[in-house]
Amino acid sequence: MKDPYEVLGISKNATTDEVKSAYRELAKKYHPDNYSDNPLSDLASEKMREINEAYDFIINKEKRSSNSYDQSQNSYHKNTVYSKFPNVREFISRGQIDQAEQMLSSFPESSRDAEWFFLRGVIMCRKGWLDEGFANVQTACRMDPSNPEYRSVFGQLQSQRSGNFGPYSSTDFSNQSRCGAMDACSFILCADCCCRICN
Amino acid sequence: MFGYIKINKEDEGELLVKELNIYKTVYCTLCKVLGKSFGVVSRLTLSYDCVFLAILMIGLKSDSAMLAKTQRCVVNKFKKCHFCTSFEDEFKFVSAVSIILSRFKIVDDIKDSKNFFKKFCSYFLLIIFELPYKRAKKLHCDVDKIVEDKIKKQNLIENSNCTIDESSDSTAQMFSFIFSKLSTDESQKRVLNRFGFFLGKWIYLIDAVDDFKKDFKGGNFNPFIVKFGGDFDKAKEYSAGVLNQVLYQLFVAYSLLEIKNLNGLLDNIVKLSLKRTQNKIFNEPQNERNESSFFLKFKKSRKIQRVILEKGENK
Repeated sequence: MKDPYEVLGISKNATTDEVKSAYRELAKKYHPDNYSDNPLSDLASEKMREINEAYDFIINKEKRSSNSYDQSQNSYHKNTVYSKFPNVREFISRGQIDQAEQMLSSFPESSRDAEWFFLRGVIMCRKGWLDEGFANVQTACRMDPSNPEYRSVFGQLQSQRSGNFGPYSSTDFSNQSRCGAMDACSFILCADCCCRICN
Repeated sequence: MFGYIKINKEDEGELLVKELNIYKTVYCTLCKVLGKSFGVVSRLTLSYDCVFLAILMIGLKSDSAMLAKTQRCVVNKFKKCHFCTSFEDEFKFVSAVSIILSRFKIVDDIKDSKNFFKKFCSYFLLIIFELPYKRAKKLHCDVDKIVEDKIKKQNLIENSNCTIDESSDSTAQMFSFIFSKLSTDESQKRVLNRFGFFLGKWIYLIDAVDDFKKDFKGGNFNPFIVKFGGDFDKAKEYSAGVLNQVLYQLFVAYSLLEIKNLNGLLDNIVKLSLKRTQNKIFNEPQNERNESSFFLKFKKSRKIQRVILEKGENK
């Protein structure tokens, strides 16, 4: 195991608060949400594991219940959803992007539904073709606006495009998911209003 | 395409004096190595982008401090400069990359330029760069091969109607290959691959935004003109989104690099300066800025004249 103090980038006699803030800073940086649809996600989770271990080692006695970021479920392939393209999803989760792309493009145009466009978008993002990826996920959302999976990825891509990240931003990375939730709330509110008007 | 990656000196307190000195040292050393190993003319290819490449390479290599000595500048004998005495191989690699990239840029210029005089100048440059290029090619033939291959692909793609991603793919892959050579560690190679990919993509696209008006007038290829025609405002709005997304992926990959040395300097370039350069280009396009400032000055001077005249009349 590496020196836990070195991993967190702090001195040996750091206070508990310093340890915590260093941990929080690093956890934000390597949070799995930042690496969804990214081929480097395994390296990031490795880093995350190191940080967690180091933090555990230093603050051994204190309880750590809510802070373990590792368990967050954001990866789309972890959610067990009914899929028309299980093999394509399998390839994506294994990181075989070329095969996934080939297989997906072999489907005839008539069977290209919202999920097809969504998976194509995910593949394109992994490949680094971000603009095409964004356009495809957008199409998927338009075809099936109620799907939470598409909406959450679309929300993430949208917040990446807004440029609200890095040192020039006012908000940080972790605020992405909130955006989706807000959208959902406002959607329900609007729908509710419509229903009342109709009644 | 050169000169978009530089240090951020404008934001006060962001860059330390010692970091600036290291930057200057790397710049001077690169200039010296270029001249010494590849011939005097190759010094013309020196660019900020290659300085960044050298700094990243040194930062990834080891945490030992850079050794430097003070000597007179190779160009201006009255100036004293610091030269790095360690990391010889790294500087040689970056110099070779610099020459290879510049040589292909000249070839590209010859093809694109319609002006006879410019074409003549480019041919002249091509001839004097032949010897340095041959030396660089001998040292790193794999880089040369990739660059040649990707530029050929780029030319093929530009003749067809292509999307933003398709047009930027060649440059991105070229950089991806060059950056992946900076480390021998497998997982670091993967990170560098992705980092280089998005850096190349960013450079290609920011160049396209910067040259939009020029390309539109000259009828040259530009991915944003293909998509939006001459509508500059629409293209600007859309391209901001694309570039932000590229920068996001770039930052995310950068966080995974295991940098052992020169962290502050690299952070300054990657995290602050790229975004700043982008904002600058979006907020005030260069050619417009020059025009407007000239007209403003002219108008202002007229106004002052009028005020003075009116005052005189009142008296």
